[in-house]
Amino acid sequence: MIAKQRSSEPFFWSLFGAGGVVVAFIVPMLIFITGVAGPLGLLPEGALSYERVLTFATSWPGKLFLFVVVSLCLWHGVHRIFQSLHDFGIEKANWQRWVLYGSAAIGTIVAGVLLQLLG
Amino acid sequence: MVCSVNALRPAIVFHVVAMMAAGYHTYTWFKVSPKVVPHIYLGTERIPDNLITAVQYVVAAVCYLALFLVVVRT
Repeated sequence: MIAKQRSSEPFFWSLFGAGGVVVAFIVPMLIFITGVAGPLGLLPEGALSYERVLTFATSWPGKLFLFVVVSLCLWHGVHRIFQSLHDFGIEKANWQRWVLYGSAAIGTIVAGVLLQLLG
Repeated sequence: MVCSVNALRPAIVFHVVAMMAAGYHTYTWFKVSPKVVPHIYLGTERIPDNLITAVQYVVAAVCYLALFLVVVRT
């Protein structure tokens, strides 16, 4: 008789999958806007002004967008790192799960708290 | 602008690299997704993998454009 053990894998995989979609459809353009076009001055005056970004980050759609992008990217990244350990010849261990998924969990909480503190 | 472009150069280079990494993710994600999604049929024909990939590129292009326009429209 083999004892059936529930796996936590599907849960983390679903966050990984959702994060993968977010990264694929949003992140390249998001990095271009905030990290390249903005600093180079390619955007219209005030497009990334403090007031405008604050208004966005304190609105509910803006909060949701930022929370989803930050959190799901973290979950995607740590799952990918965890699965990649095998390719580098590192044996999987539970402490790696705790460190990796733990940091994504902390990042998720920090993002949520900071967005709330913004008002 | 608060900072000169010169002072921001390392940060901009970093973001260009990050953007390319994200772009590479997009490429690999769209490449494997036909193998992950459930089989979709159009009539009796199964929708080919490369069509699924192509449709995703179109959707991604629309997303990028929409995001850019939302930011640019001040």
